[in-house]
Amino acid sequence: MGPLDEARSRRTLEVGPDATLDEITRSYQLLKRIYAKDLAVFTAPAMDEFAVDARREVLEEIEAAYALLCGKAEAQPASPPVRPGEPDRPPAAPRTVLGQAREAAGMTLDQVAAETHVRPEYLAALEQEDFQGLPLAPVNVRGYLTAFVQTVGVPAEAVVPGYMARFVRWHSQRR
Amino acid sequence: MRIWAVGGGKGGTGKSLVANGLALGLAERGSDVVLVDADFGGPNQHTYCGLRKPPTSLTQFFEERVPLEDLILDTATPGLRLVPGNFNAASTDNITWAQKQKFFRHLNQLPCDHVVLDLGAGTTYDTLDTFLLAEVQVGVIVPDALAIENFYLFLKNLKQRQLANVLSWTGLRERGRKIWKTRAEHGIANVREFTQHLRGLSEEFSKAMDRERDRLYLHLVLNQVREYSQVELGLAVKSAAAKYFHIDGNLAGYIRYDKDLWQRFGQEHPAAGGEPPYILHHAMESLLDSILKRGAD
Repeated sequence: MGPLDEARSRRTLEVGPDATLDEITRSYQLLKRIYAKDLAVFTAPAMDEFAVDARREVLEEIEAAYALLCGKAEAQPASPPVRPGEPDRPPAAPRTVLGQAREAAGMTLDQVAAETHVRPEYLAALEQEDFQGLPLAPVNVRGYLTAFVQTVGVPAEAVVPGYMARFVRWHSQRR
Repeated sequence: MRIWAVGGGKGGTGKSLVANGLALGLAERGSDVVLVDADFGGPNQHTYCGLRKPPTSLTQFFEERVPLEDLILDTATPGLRLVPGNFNAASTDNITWAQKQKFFRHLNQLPCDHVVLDLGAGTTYDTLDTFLLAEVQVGVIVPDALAIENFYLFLKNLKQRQLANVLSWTGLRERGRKIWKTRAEHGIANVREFTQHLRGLSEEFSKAMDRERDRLYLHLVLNQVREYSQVELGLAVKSAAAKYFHIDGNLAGYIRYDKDLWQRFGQEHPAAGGEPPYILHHAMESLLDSILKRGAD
């Protein structure tokens, strides 16, 4: 089997060449539902094809394909909102999309924490993409992240899929 | 002329019902359709079509050498004709290689727009070869683990039969057999690696495998759906066919479970037809749209 390029990623995620990021994400979520558990009802456990290792390989390829396609979509990220009359600020290093968006919203991490009820250290880790500092379950990360971006006024769909793809890629490499 | 085949491994999933409905739908759209009951071990299409006691059947083709074309019978539906199965012969589910070749030759020469083949259950070579012969390949499952397990076995056997056929056509059968026997020496762990090895040996084999792989496309039909959540099961099987068996396809549609369906069999009109327009009829229309759309693309 060849390298995981864009064409193979689309095939893996069972989407056509014109699929939008939203369609790709929906297909990814469906495939995750299908393959994440050992659902005997749609498999044939007695057959070699459905060995545990084979399912793990399928899952890993789904994750990698999603990460690759999200990365491509992220090449043209949505601009964070700029408020009229916002004074120019010296760039803080390292500046991330989340950090820029929070600053543009004029909020501190503590203020975001008060709004979202997410611990400030998790918000800081989210902002810096310090995945080690985050809880491991992708479902938690997605929830915190969505709350964060919505609080600072950024549409979730502009940031969350690409961010989660990076997190999931890191998560799967970590294993 | 296009040949359609409806198969799927497990008995009782609704293969005959789907074959009947697709043939009827094509006829209603103005095509000249011949439905052939190729379920050699358990023919029912004459009953599906409302023919109580057909005067001829495939028995005459296999035992008396009557041309297939001469065995076509009219049904009550304009445009839909039938070659009934071997309902008056014992042990007819085994035909010789020569009989099968002749059967395929006659199928290809039938004077019509579409031939729809209703295949039997199981994974005999006859069933697999007939499915592979078709241009439009329809697989029928129901949402339960038993039917699905048998369906995967059907897919696995299809791929292996396809490989065996290509080995035969390209004169590599004996060589392939020897390589498979000594596969450890060649560093071959499974059928996939075996195929890769042979591709490297013969360009002709490689091209034939590509051609046959492209010819196999599964239109999956999920029958007896009791609740909408079961449709996801159809999507899962479609996905697994691609990921585990490398067979592309789509979920062409689903048919809702109908507790009263049995009452429509044995009457003098096709089960999927009749008046007033029946819910099954709508499901078949939708299936046909999906399958024909793919053909048009």
